[in-house]
Amino acid sequence: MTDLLTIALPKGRLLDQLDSYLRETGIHLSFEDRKLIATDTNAGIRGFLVKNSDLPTYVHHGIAGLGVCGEDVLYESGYDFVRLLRLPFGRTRMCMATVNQRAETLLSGRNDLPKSVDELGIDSLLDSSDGRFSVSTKFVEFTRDYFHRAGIPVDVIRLNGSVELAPVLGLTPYIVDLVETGSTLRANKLSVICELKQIEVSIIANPAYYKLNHARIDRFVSQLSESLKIDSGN
Amino acid sequence: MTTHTRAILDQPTGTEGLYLEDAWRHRNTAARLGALLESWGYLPVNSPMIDYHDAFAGLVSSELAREIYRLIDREGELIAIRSDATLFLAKHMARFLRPDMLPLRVYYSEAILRHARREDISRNEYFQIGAELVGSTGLAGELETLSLVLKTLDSVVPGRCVIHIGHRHIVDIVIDTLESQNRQYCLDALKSHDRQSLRRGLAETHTRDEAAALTRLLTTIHGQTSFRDLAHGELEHLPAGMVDAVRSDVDHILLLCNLLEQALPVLETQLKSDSIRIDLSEFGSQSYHTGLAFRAYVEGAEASVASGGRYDSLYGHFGIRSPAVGFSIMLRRLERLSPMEPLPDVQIIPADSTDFLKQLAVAEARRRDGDRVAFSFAPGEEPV
Repeated sequence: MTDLLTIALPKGRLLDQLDSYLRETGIHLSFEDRKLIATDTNAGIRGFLVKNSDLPTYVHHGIAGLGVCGEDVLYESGYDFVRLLRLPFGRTRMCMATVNQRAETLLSGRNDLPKSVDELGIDSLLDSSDGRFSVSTKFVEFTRDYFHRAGIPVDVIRLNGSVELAPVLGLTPYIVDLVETGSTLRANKLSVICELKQIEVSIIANPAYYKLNHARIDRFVSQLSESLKIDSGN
Repeated sequence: MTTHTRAILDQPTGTEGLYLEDAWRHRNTAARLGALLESWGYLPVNSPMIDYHDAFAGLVSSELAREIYRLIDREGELIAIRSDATLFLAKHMARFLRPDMLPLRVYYSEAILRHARREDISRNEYFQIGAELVGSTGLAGELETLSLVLKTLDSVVPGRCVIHIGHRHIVDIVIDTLESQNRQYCLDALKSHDRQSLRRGLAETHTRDEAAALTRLLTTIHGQTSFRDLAHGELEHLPAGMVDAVRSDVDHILLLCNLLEQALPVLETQLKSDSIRIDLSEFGSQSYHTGLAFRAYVEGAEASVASGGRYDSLYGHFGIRSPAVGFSIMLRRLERLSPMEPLPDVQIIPADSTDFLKQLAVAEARRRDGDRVAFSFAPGEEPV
């Protein structure tokens, strides 16, 4: 059974989208009856169903050789992976948001969102009372690195969920979070003031695992990219 | 949990302790590999555990820089704790090297200390054994290094390792053609084998066909024959300015791999020719790498078990102009994959204060015959 390729798959919506493409390439992984491990012996692949945020850990430690994961989670993990293929679904945006009133002031006179935080100007982001720029987020590493690359000192407060509450309750004036439809932001009277990064979902591999199994993995990626009708870069 | 409890029960990250059988096996393996390296004419060296941090300015990658433990000595100097065996060895050796000593073959078997995140239990890089051939410019030195790393690995995990051989100079030729703001993007893409990003980055400077050809050249893993076919095919599509330089390096790698393949049976390893792969995405993890770069992998290890290459300008940084080529083996990663060596039996001889000297004589006689002998004391008894 050591010949099976192993892949960690994220629980949730992404799996449903991925599964139909896997089936098109002849891979059937059935996670029935709350099972977390499924094997397709004919296709030579075994899948592990893991929590999205734990997925990089399993691949980094070589428990799963491959994985399907968003850039946001990969960035926070800090591990190095082989990036085999960007998938055409599951895309989202990492955005900075604030309460509507402040957003209107910051964006007044503009027809579109600024393309980077530089366009907003650091002075306009500082808190008028203490002169600091503070942000609440689940994505601490990304947020710190993003603003430091822009030369902006930032106080980052880590939250694990319901990040939208932070500006409403006055924890920090800004949040950095993933935004898909924006409905949660709107419901809490928040608005996006800057899109920081497009987040894509990729198939990744443990580097050593890829080097040892590159021929089979390249074949798998090639089949999948054909099924997805995307260019794998080859 | 109080700080005191944590101090007692936990350990700072960046190092590893070995105990009993584990330590015995580790030392046995290190001694065995040390003997092998000595049989090739390599002499042992021990580099200092600490050195002046400023000595390594500009030589460490940003990744390694973040992992170095630093301290301030009593004169206020910033001190770095040994985090990279090759760097510390080069600094140390450069103080004593003279041109008439070259070529010089040395090996080390020592611990390094690097910060690692607490949850990252897979580093296993803290004990390394490696060899360096200082003063060798040509193909022969590279062939010796590659032969030695394969021989060494095969002695621990017979027939199981593969080596991926790349060339830093080819990568430098390509990267140097790019706009400065695009270089790191493409290097990162190559490091992570991200073909889509690499091709996109290269296409900022080159035509689509050129970017595609370069991406295929740099990211496809090959045996010799398929690499020869691909490389010479792709050379026609490369930007005109880089064809001759890349062709020269490609021919160098092909010759090196061809000779290494012929060396395998002579080395009496259990490795087959398909354990040698050409992989230009291996370009050396540190900024001091220059030409040849390689990593070795073994099924079951979550990361490479050995890495190395050429670093012709490293000794120059410390005042001695001398090329060098070498490798490091992550000993702990390898040990965990090797067949478990049984601990030798220890014979137990009962002894107490009345007959200790008599039993000591018995034990010594058996030890002279090669046995391992220990005493067992009755409770409360102490030997006189």
